[in-house]
Amino acid sequence: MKSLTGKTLLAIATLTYLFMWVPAIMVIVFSFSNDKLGVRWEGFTLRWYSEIFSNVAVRDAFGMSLTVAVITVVVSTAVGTLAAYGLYKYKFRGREALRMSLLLPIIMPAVITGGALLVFFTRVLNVPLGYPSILIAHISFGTPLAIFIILGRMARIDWSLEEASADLGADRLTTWRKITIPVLLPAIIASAILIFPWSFGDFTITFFVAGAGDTTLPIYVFSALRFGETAAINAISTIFVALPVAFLLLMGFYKRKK
Amino acid sequence: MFLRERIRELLAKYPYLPSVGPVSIWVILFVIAPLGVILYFSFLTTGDFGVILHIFTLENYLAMARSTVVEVFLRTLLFSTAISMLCLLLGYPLAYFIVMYGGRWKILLVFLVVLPEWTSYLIRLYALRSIVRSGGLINSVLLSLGLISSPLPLLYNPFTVVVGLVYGYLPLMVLPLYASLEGLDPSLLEASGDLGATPFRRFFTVTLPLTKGGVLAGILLTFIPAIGDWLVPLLMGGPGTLMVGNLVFLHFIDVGNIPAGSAIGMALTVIILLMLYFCIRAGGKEATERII
Amino acid sequence: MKRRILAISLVLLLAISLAAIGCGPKEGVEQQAEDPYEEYVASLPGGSFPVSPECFGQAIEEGELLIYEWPDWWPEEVYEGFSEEFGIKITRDAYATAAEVRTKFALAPETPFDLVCAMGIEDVISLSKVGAAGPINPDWAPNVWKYVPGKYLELASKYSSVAYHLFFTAYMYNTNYVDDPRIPSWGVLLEPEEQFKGKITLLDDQFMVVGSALKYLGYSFYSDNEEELMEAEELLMKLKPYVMEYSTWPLALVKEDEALIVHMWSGDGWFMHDEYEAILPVLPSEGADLGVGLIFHPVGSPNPAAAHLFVNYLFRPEVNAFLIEKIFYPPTHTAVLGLLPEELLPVVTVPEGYSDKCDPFDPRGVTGEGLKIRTKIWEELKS
Repeated sequence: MKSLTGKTLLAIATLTYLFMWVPAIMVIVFSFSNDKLGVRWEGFTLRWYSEIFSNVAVRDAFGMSLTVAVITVVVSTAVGTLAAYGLYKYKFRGREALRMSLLLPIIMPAVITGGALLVFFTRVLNVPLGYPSILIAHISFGTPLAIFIILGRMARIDWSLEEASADLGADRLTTWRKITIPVLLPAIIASAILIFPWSFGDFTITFFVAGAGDTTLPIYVFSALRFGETAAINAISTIFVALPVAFLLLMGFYKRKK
Repeated sequence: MFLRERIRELLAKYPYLPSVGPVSIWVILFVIAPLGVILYFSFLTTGDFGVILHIFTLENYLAMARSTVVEVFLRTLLFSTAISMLCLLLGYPLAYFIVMYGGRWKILLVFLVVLPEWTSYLIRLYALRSIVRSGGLINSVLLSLGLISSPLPLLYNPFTVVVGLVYGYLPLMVLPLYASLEGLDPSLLEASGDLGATPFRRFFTVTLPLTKGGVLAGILLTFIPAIGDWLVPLLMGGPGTLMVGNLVFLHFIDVGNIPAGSAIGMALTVIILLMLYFCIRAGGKEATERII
Repeated sequence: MKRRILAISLVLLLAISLAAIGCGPKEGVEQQAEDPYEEYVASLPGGSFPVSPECFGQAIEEGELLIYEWPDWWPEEVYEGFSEEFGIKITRDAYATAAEVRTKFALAPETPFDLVCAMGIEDVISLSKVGAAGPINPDWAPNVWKYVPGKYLELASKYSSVAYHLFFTAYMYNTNYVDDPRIPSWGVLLEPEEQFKGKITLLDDQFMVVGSALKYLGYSFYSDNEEELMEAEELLMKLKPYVMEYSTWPLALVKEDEALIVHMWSGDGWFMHDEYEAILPVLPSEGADLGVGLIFHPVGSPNPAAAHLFVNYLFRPEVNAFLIEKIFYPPTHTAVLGLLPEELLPVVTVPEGYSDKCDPFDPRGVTGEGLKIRTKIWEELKS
């Protein structure tokens, strides 16, 4: 990196990384600070963590977010894998239309999707808001995501193995189980890795379709934000940042072991 | 059994049904239908106390011609264009750096960019707000360095909203750029260098055009979410920085006028769809296949 | 393989049956304990009246209560005391603005909350009009009928709401920074001195904001006169650059001396003063609205008996007094003033003659033209 170009790029890159990460790092740092407003350093303490772990509302919200995320991932990847397979392998009328409509949940602003689902559930379907409405909303976003990721992968796969298996007389289900799924597994896992944090951390859409008494962790944080008690939010935020980092580290170890 | 026969027939004629069927039903029921409902509601009107009257009217759309709404739309487009460009300006050097100088650390560097996207958007904005506000890090540092005598009101102005949007969407710009740059054939760059082009020239005549797809994708991926954003103005903007998303929320929830909110939402949707359409046309079929 | 499955199923079956037996009702034990209703009546403090036996029985059976409220406002002891005494679990959900509540119920009138706390008259009328009002049974909340004056009681039958305090839309200012001779006029907030640019917050509520401007200009809080509203709009648009945020609870900003003049309801002003001495509430000299703080009982309530039991508990003189002490609003409960500490009395009594300057609720302000124009102003103010 002796060239001027290299040096300039390094500088810009460093600044950009700092810009991206300093806010999060500061939140983590201050989550250990003994300051009620959570913006200054006033000595080390773990009180905020003990506070949120003993707070029933926080635990419930965490539980709800977790449950929703897990179910969303499972359903989205399942339906998504099937759909991606079908979209890739077959040509049929309406294929383009389906692909375009699958884009919709991803490109539409969350306020509009949330508002549309809210009106749809309450006014048209007359379905009470609650776990079902939240799950439907999340799965509606997660499935297209899974489809596009898996589809993207499918173009680079050697499908001859699958053909061979069929030629050798294996029925569809066996081929699916023994060849197709394992081959698609990296893509499926990749989509799960993206869908889970999205679902866990989603605020806007969940806010619109949540029912009476349903609080996910982001909704809890939003309420707390409005009403000022920010020190505990630092601790909760750290959890949000820590989860993907921990996961990444796990993946790193796993890869290294292999 | 008769039923099994029929199913077998159906599967033979439409082999794609079991795989594509479920998602199609889902999409029609929970994606298309709600949008259709919103479209329908945008042509209705309200009575007192938020009661929706099923009377066809164009008033919601006509009413959007009023100055506040037009201003908000223009402001939103302005902000989004600005942040898209800013993201490009910051993101391209970053992606270039990772690809050309990253070496062994490439994957890690990419993950460092992408990781913020895996935490909650709300939480990230909260973190940014924490350091920007009066008692936050930036002001504390400036104060302790003696550069200012009283805290700067960094929060609650349009500039902060732009910074917030860049902060929020920068990773989405870097990813496609990285993918595009990574896919470049290094021999092409070498060849142009051998032919006597300066690095500067080489960039503009070779690298940039070759990464056109990535740039376009990056612009799309930052511009479109940005015009629908409402959290940044809500948390960090103040009066005078509202974007279209906030306007939708205002009418939907604050005022309780679903038809008016629906109309604004529909207008925004149309803009996004048009944008997407033109970008796909410009990028050509391969770009579509690449993105989708 | 098959044997294994059989064995596991048998074990599971055994485990489930044991659990069912263990969790079943213990016959005979209930009969040995005293009748819980009699215990409840006997342990009631003086001045409190019991709910009917069927309400009590049903409430205990329901065992749960879902409250929709302003967070961090009522003291925890109120909820804890109730939960401990009756063994009823309370779950609380929070809202940020009354508008949210109105819209939620407008879209789904059977939204299953048991009680919605802290509503104003316009809110409960709105909720009733969309069909969200649930029946209130006087026998199930006798304390209310005993202690609340008649003129507020009709709100219970008409709009399923129990009035528990009065309020005025007002403002508060930071005594360390604000020294305006116009205090206590609305002008301090609505036409502030130059140096307070970006240091003002307004309530996130279109009716309160527009109404306050109207009162300052000498008109009715609930006016629907187009000219008057246009004047208010002009005033507010000039104020817009001074406004930092629209918030119904800017306590954090207040504590950091960032919000120096704050639009706030009277009692909440005293609440914040209690937390941060420098901030001082005033009752604007031009007058305001005659607000009534209400608890609303929705029709979709899954635990109506528990809801009534809670409201009845809330209107025990000592519980109500404790609540008033913490929220600093004038009570509707007629037996509470005597139970309050003396220094609190000036805060929780309406000053002589002030009510005359205030406007009681008038639907003209929240319907028809009045609503349309206010919505337009609100949109401009927020954009």
